[in-house]
Amino acid sequence: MNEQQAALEDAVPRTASETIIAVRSVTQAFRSDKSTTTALQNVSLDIRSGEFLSLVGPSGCGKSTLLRGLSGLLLPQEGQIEFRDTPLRGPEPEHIGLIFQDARLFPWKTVIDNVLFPTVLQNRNTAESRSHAMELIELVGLSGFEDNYPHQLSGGMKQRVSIARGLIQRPEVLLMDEPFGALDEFTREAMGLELLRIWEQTGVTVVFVTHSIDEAILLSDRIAVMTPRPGRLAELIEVELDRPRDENVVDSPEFVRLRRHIRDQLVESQSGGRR
Amino acid sequence: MAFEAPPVPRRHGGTVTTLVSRIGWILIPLALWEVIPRTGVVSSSTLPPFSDVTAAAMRILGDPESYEHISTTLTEVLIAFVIVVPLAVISGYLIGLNSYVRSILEPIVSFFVGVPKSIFLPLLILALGLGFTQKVAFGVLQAVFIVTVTMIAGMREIPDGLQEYTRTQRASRWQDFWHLYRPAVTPVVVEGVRLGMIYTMTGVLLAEMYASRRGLGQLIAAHGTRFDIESLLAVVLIVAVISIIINVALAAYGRRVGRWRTG
Ligand SMILES: Nc1ncnc2c1ncn2[C@@H]1O[C@H](COP(=O)(O)OP(=O)(O)OP(=O)(O)O)[C@@H](O)[C@H]1O
Ligand SMILES: [Mg+2]
Repeated sequence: MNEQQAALEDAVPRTASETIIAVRSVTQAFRSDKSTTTALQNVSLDIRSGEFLSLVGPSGCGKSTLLRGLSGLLLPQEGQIEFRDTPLRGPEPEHIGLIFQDARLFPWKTVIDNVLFPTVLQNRNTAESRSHAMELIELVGLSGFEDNYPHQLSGGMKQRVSIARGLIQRPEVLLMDEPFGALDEFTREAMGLELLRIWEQTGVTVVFVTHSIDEAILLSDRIAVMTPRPGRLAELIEVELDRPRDENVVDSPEFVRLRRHIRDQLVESQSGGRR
Repeated sequence: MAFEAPPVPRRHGGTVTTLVSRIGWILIPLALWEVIPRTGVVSSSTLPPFSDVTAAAMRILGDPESYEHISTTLTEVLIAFVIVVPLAVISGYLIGLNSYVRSILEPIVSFFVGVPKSIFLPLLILALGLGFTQKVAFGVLQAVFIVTVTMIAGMREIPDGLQEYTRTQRASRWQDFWHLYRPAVTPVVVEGVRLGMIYTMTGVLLAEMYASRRGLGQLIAAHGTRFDIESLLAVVLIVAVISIIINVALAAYGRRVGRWRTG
């Protein structure tokens, strides 16, 4: 076993500035018969352990592609992505969880069995994991729904189940691709604030993809602004708003300033892209 | 809100009224079957009344010699069935797994569903002779294509995105089969198996009627040639009751494993 693998296995204490995932000069292009789309061009990014990082940008700028790279589902054509200094070679379900826009639950499994599914795959479905699952179900506010089937739940509730399932293996990183994109505005804001509470309680690192500038500012420590054609990282913004945050922070001067700044960035890149 | 929620569609079945009307729809034809021959509109030698046929069926069931026929038929059906289900489920799984393979083989399998299998009966007799093997083979032939087609269709029932999800969990091929494909297709396959059962039964009975020494099909044919309509109808009644029982049991099982689809 080399040192890097040992580092993977030992629980390393978190400090605010430690890098957990490093994206190093990643380029990813998709070729079709007629054209080539450069989804990511020379993207580099250090994700800090324990932070809440959002990726924003217009449709098609490569957010999902980057997230798939971070999850190990997609191995980049150029450059590499390292988890704790070891290049990712595939999914690492015990360290990195991925939450999709649609909850992707097993319709034939109850809430508790969906949450326990990753432990079943690992042959670790013990009494301990069962009580952990119950804690997580409580954490996402679904106590009492353990034995319901997905079709008996609302969209927001399904997404909560999928978050609980994402946390069952105590991953260090939770990747979320527009997890609240299919929800109405009210549910969406409530779910965002709830996610903040979960993030604070578990200490998990969150990488969060969203179309909504407001959602990104409300939740994040840092925001990576991406621009399309080719997909590039335009700017990394530190959000210096006090925590804990609530919905009132939206009216603060700093919030308004950040919102305008990000919007200007995106508008500029759009007109730049049309030349 | 300006929009009203659409009315929830009412599910039929389960209420007392539907149960009563169902029983009614079964009882009315039986009552007509009883009354019409007795009034003499149709002579009772052409159509013996229901009660006479039931009595004859009881007599046949009481006769030890009949058990040989019944057990012959049921054994043939059962063996054919035990061959059909794994054969169809495995080939359907392999065909449905890959979209390229499916695009080539699915139309071919569907084509065989449409071919009347009875035209192969003389061929089977030439190849296998008269007897157990030939009956079972014909039962398999009748059902295997239709069950394979339902299995292929069932493979499309797998909810979008779940394959990608299990990939993020590093599920093995076997785990994918067990946790994803198997539960997703089970309700559809049970429905296909229910259909397949009817076809297998048809196949075995047909083969027995065509040429055989034993079995319920042979019994029906024998009574027919002797113009013993009462006994003939009695055997038909027995066969109908047996297949209804099997059918209802499979349908109930299908509803149980498919509960997650509707609730
Ligand atoms: N598997 C693929 N094959 C071909 N092209 C792809 C593939 N995946 C992504 N692309 C292309 O790469 C570009 C970036 O896609 P991506 O899904 O990462 O964008 P996105 O930022 O997530 O967009 P959205 O906000 O709409 O989800 C798009 O132009 C898309 O068409
Ligand atoms: Mg996307």
